[in-house]
Amino acid sequence: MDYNHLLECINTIGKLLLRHGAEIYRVEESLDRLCEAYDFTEIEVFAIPTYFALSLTLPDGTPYHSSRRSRSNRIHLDNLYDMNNLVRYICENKPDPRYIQEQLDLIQSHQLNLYLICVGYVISSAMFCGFFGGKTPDMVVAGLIGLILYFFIYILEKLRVNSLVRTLVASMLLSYIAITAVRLGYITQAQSSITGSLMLLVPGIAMTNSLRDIMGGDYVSGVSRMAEAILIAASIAIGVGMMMLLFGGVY
Amino acid sequence: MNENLQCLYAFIGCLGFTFIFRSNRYLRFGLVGALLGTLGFKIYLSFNYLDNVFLQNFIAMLTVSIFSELLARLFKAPATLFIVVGCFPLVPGSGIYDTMLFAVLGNNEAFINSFVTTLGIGISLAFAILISSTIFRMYKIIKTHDYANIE
Repeated sequence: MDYNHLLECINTIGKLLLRHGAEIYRVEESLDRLCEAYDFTEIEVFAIPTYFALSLTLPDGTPYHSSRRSRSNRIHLDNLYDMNNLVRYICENKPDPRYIQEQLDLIQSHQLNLYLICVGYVISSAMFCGFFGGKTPDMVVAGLIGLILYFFIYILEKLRVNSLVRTLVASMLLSYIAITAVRLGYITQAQSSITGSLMLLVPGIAMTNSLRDIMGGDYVSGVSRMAEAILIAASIAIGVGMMMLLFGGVY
Repeated sequence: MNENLQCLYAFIGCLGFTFIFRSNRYLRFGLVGALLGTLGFKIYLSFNYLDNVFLQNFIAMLTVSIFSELLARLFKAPATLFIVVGCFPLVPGSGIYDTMLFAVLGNNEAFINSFVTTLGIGISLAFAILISSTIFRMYKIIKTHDYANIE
């Protein structure tokens, strides 16, 4: 068997798992099980949210070490499911590296349905506005904000803008739109529209995940994710607070 | 506020978030996750008489995550798929926002209050997820007799 190709595939699997938002322990466990399936020994995996290192000994006694860096992580549930199935299949059947490569190429070749994501932005922004006590006009404004935010964030991501700056500018934009809607008299208060559409930016899941990592014993990952969540929350608040101070008080 | 209407909003909102989290091809997972989220919020509401947000969040999230683990076994999918979507109505998104808003506005007392509440809710959610996953891991170990060596 071509061990170089196989190890290359295993590294790609680890990197994709990390990039698409799998938990740290799942990345470590998956790589561990993949390597065990192919009779490698002395397997050690260490993963943090943007990096993992893998060292093992091949069946013929050669030591091997590799590491991968994944700078931009985002949750991608479809690929997570496909990768999970692939890992399960590999552990049971130990296929040839060529087959794994084919499957990996297939998973990565799926195109995103951008219309659906846009619809997601609109309806979740509008619905969470209603969830936090908004009336129908508030929800319409929140849906509009969601639509604008989708295109705005898309453009900023294309331009490789840092996530903190992106969140700051996006929250400034959304609170400006809500405050303008109040001034024009469409809605009576900006609070529920702002909180509803902020659900798109708020790092609630990042925070829960970081606490989970910390309690599970992955202190390094947990603390770094916690720092990220706090900084993103701070940039949201600075953006919204700035616009509120500039354009007419706190509603 | 009408509770059923709020649950409906939570359901559709969660469904929207499954699209944002790139769940485009497997719509069944999105639907199930959104249903779980609604269930969690319903449980949160029905334990309102306890008058303690931490306990309410803990019980609701424990139910959601136990169901997620069961569904993960059923669908042969990772439990994260359901937990990420199902915890959305409970996650303290507006709490984080409020906390930071009070910090920016310089209202320190309200800031500390809201910060402690948000952190507490986060910790209760995390504990609930951790406990359910520990239970299922214990079940797996007992089933496969893969006990640890105590040195």
